[in-house]
Amino acid sequence: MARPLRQKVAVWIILAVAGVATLYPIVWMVVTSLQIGPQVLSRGLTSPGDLGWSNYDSALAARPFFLYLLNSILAAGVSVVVTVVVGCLAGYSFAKFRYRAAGTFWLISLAAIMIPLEAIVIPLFLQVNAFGWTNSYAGLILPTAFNVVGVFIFRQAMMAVPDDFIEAARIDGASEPRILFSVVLPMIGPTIVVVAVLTFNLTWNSYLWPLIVVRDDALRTLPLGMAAFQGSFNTQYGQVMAMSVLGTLPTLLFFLSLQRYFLESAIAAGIKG
Amino acid sequence: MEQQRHHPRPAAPSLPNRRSVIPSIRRRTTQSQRLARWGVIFILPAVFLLGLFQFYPIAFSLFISLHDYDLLSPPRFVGLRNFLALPHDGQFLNSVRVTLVYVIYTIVPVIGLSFLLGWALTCLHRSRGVWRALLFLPSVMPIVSVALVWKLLFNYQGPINAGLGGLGVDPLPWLNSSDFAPWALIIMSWWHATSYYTIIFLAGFLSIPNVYYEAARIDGARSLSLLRHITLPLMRPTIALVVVLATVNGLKTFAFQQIITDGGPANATEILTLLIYKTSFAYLDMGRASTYSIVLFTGILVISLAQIWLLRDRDG
Repeated sequence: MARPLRQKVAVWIILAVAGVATLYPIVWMVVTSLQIGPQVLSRGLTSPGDLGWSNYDSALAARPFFLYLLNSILAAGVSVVVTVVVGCLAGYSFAKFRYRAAGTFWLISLAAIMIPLEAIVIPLFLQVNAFGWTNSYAGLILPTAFNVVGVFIFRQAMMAVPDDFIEAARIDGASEPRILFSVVLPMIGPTIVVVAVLTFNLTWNSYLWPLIVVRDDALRTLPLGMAAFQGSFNTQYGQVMAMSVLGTLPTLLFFLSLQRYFLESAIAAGIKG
Repeated sequence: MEQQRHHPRPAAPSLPNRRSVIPSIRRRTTQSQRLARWGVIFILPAVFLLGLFQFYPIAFSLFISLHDYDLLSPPRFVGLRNFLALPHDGQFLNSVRVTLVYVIYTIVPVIGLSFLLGWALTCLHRSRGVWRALLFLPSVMPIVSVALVWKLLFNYQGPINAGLGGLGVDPLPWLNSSDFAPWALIIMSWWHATSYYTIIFLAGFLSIPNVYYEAARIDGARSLSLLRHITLPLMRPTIALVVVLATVNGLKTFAFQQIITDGGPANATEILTLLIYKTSFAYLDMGRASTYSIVLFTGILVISLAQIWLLRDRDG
């Protein structure tokens, strides 16, 4: 089983270089956010000079960071609920029901993953405008809330649920929604978490749509708020980095606590069911 | 399953009556019709949302692309004029060139690097989890944070120029020159994208059963021929997947260009998504912008169809 020594050395060299390259910008961001006084950029990591929290105080005082955070949590939360509920129903329908229109609906769902938001923002904006939803939570959240990838992931997981369980519940007289709720869903718990994490991340990072639909500062999500902060304080390097750190912390904590689901959802997002 | 509630069973079959002479056929059709109805009911919310927020907009996009529309006056039908103008539209051609350069120079090194890192992670055992988490960090960072950090790293007085100074290279105007700005964005995308595809490659490597390698080693195969005859053929679907994903994600990039350079200097980083955004929401030329959208959509559609075809190839 012993791998050749040369290979081991090569692996460790590759990982060491990649590790340093990966960490450097992140460490630099943190150190710069803590540097106070002039000449922040040119000081570097070896001679950081005076450190303190004042950049964080100023950044938090200048913009309503926690409001942005709440807006992001709200948007991501609604998207998670919509995608999990609607995705579960559709995934269940594809996995366990036979009916004539199923093929058509399957093609519709497949086609939908190929329509990128980037290509439909203009009509979507006009549509939301017609609804009177511009610059509102409804406009910010609802048009992009449903993530069709969830359908494919749920379908995949539900195909593995044995038909016997469903049949048995049916013979016992359980209604169809009840079978889904109390027989099928308890068996695919991890998949629900994967889809939830995936959707949460997509919405959390979404930038283009909020940029188009939101004008009020009070409706800004975290990405918008951070970008706007950078726009008005772009020479306050320490404060901009403090904002970046603050924006990174929630996702970092989320990642560290749900690492397995996080990675699984990243892979599922790529493979799309 | 032990906690499953027991429902009262339907009454045991009573005395045969007349209907049960033609029993099961009729019962089964109504049952399967009832189930079919539930299948449709379950799928309706998804179809409704997709129709409202995906298919209607894409059809509407086609409609607008055939019109002159500035949001203020009603759309004026112009036929294919917007499309016919594309080959003479300097801004569009520049944007397509910028986009293709960005995508190609980003994905080629990223695929190589993430393949290498995915392989390196496969070689680890006890420490794999830690390294995997560490290398994944760039994908955990919000995109806007990534953009803000790299904007400063590439600052004229920033650490990258300081590092180059240490090597005796004069500072480069990374973000202020139309020669260097595209490269600044490409280099930061290497950092950002590699972390994601490393995870995908790792998953691919780990799905190769170890016995293949052991068998080949017993047959006396050397490392290089293991790579050529076992790893590469078995990794082909993963490689194809990553190529498609990286291309599509590259084509959809928006926040980096918008935040770091806003397309400048001199439109040198005006990627297609950013041109669409500016043409529609700054110049209010919805017809032209929709035409660009259709071009972008077609490009992504072709690549996605290629993906489906490639993945089906693996199963068949």
